[in-house]
Amino acid sequence: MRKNWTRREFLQTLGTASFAGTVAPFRTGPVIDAGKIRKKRVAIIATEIRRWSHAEHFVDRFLEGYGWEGRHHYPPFQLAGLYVDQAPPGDLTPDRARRHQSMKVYPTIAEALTLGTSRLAVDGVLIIGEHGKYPRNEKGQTLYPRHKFFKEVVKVFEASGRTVPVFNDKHLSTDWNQAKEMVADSKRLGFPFLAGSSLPVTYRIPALELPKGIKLRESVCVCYGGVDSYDFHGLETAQCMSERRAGGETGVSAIHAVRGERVWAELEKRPGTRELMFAALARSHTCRAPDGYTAIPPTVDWIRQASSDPVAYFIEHNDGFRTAMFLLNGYVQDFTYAGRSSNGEVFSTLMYLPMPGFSAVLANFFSPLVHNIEEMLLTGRAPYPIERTLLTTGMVEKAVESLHAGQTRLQTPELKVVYSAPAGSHFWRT
Amino acid sequence: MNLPLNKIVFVLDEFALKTPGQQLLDRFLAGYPRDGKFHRPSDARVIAHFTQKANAAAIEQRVRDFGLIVEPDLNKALADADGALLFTGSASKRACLERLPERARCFVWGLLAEKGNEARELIELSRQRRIVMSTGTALPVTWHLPQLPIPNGASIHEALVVALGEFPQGELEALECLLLLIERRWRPQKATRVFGYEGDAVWEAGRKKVWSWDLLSSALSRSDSPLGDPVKDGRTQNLVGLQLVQKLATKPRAWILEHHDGLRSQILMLDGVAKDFTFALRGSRGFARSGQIFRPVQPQQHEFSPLAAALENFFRSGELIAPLERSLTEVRLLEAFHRPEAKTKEGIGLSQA
Repeated sequence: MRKNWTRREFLQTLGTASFAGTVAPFRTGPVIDAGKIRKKRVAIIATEIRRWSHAEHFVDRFLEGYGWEGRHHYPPFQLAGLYVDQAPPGDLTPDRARRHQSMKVYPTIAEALTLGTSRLAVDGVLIIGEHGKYPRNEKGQTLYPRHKFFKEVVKVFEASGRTVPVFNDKHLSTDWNQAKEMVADSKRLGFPFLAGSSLPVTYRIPALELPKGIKLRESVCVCYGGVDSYDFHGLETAQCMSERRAGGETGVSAIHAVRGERVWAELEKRPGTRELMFAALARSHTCRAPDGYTAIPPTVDWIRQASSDPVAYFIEHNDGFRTAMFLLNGYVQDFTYAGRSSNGEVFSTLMYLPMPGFSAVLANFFSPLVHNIEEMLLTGRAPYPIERTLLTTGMVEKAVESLHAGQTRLQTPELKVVYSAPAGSHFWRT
Repeated sequence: MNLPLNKIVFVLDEFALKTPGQQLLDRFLAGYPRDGKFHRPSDARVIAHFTQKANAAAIEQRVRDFGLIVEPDLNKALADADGALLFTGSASKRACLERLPERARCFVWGLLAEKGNEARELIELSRQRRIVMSTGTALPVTWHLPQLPIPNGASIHEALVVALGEFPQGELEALECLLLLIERRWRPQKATRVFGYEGDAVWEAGRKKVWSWDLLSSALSRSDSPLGDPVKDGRTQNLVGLQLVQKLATKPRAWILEHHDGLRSQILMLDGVAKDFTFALRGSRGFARSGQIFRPVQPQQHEFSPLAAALENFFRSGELIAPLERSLTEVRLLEAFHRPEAKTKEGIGLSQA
């Protein structure tokens, strides 16, 4: 059952996208059938749809709606075309297709975008290349087919002479050159391109908004998860704050990734970073306490004991700014941030993720991400720059390489990604 | 005023992990996160007095690790205390108030008393002995998601809280959430009449607009833990729009409070529908708010950290965590909820409660 449309929602469905800034060789924007106004259509290109896979969270929010600003909000879009690469045990694709017959599942990406015709027939594309069984390379990176999916989308755009906004879930690729190519394609063809995960846009506790132009000197994120996986979330957590510093983002000059005991040895050399690590932990809701306790302030000794295989990335930016990220598996299960300004002031917050199977039933941190995607589809503008994801993609790739190369510090002249943060942070606070 | 804290006394009937007494005792002993730093009220000795035999290993661990002092004699425990936290039944509360030094600050966990006359006696005793007393739980001080403040003086016409739990503990927690929200309205007035509904009568009352489906929908849209299909396959779901609330709720209860100033407060106890506490408010001139009353994950339960901070402020400054008026209102309302007349057509006038 669908609720009645509000006037605002109805008007939103009438809006045509406008694309400012770039000069594109192709026409951009939605198809307007002669004499008819229809809901904008969206295609989702996914690796797999099962309970709690990333694609499930996106598909269900478009099909079933989601809680937003105090009501159950139905996106004013029709999820019309779906391509799913794999069918794992518990595949939910048939169930969703059966219950939502306005959505058709197609055997190819091209057909999902053309809705079985010969030309692009949707007004937006989401590429959700996270989860599923894909090979790993020698560095341990999972080779999700995001670049491949993206290139197939671009092929349809080129063949149709028309582009539409694209969202890519998480980092762009495991390969820097592929990531660069994806961004270059979006610029070349002039379509809005948004990417990344929920971390920059989820609830912050407290609701910390760093003013744009702040004289920030260092950012630290403390989090958990795997290399080439949650490290991306951790780096995004830091980067969505760091990019707001005076002068904007200047790119990354060197990356040094370490693990195990070397984490603590490196931390010993960086008292300022250590202070920020504890400031971030003071926002965590999940620091594990020793047996017999539930929540007590940590010591380095206890963190060492609780987190048996820690990983840290130490990142130097071109303007002297520094980022550090700590994966402390076994000690924390959330994402916290701390930053220090030039006058020594420390800012910190928790990027709150209601996590299914742990602290919640729904992964509602996908709701603000879908909201930002909706904003792009409605306005034709990405609410925050693709360069954030490009740089974070590069940081992950180079950090993985640093670990693979024996935890050596790598110069990264190729990561000279220069960009300016948006005026607002677009995180969830309404 | 920021007084030094020399001695803080915990009086506890039990001591087990994940109980309020343990969560707060450990925060005063070992420290807690406060304003982005780990903070320990290091000037205070922390004394524990157990009214019953407590978990010896857990106590010994705290004596060894953090210098907890266990004092079996209540008189000695409370002598010279700057502040006391009571996690006890009524008799022990009275005994503590009789023994605490004048001008001490005393926090009573949960409901002040089960009966209104007992509550008034305890308040009277605290006043006679010049003890500053406050009561409550962590719910009024935890975060709301989103963190939108309810402005003082807001015009609120309707307020709805969705909560869960067995009667009456669940209802106490719901009242803790509700009263905090509605106290901030313009010229707040007490509830004058209470109506209770159970089972199918809850839905019948909803059909008759005794409580608001719109507000329920708004509140549930803030839930991160709706039950039913979302548990099975992860889907988001419009629980109200799809008429699933009635199917999911087990033993639903509703409490409607009519206030002198026209406010209608609505408490819906909806076990089986969602696992979190949510609320929605509606006022004049477009004022509306909804949110989740955030209870962080176990075992850390960091809603106790802002409570520890509020308690430390209370002990140092005497600034109340909650007005005693709120404590008395909770006692009066829970007494009324217990009475069968509340579930009649006329409800129950609170002067009778």
